[in-house]
Amino acid sequence: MKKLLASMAVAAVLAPASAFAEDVPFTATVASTCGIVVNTAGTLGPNGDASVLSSANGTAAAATVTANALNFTLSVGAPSGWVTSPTGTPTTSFDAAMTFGGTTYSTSDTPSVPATATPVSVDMSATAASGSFPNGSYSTNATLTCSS
Amino acid sequence: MIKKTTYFLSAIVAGSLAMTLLPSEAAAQSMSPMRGKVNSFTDSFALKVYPANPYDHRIRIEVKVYDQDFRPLSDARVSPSNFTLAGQFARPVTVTVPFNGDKARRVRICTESVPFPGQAQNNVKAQVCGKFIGERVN
Repeated sequence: MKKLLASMAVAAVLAPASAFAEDVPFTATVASTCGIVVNTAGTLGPNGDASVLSSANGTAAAATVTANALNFTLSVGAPSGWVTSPTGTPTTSFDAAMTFGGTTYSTSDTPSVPATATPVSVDMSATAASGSFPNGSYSTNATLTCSS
Repeated sequence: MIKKTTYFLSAIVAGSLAMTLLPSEAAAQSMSPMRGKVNSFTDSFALKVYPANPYDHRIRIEVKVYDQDFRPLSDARVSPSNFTLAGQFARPVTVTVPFNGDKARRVRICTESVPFPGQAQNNVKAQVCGKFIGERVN
């Protein structure tokens, strides 16, 4: 009996505290994304005879485009019409442009978006086909598009 | 009724195949994911996108589906397609697109919002568009 107890005591001392150590792997994937935050809307001001309303005579809209990859393009689109306008508003043609990184782009340009937070200013103009814009309130939306 | 049920089941099956498109985090982005490929055994494919509102105020969001050249797809179903979203929140939107006999279909899904509606003359509509491919397996 004493021999058995002694053998068990020796075996307990020799037994390892932990027999195995394994790595536990972790992985992660961050999808490429692009986001637009419009910081401030702009205003349009009339020229001398009120035949043109433009942000050049008002203020440009400001947005921040944030991308985490280089596979996105940015484009600006002119409105197709007024959202609100007074009665008697003449037929209107619109144009828009965006500026970032010191370069101004037209509606036909699709530059790549830097993989960072980029301030973008958006300008717009509305030109009356004939005559001038009557007094009243006007609103419309240019479109800023970030696409993959 | 049977046709409608079949279409719904097809969408569910296809949607289950789109699980790999689910984002790990959707907050503070306008839409997630922005790229994806879906394999479907049915006549349509479905995917789920998460439009997000990065502002502190509630905004109205529209989700639209276009082809590669930004022509609107009238046969795509978006649920919900037009909704308001509280500030700093995101929500899932299910998009189902029929193959219309094609083996594969490439679409652009766009989240559109006007963050300051009616407050200015020169407003900006923000549009974030992802590119997705649906491929029919059988």
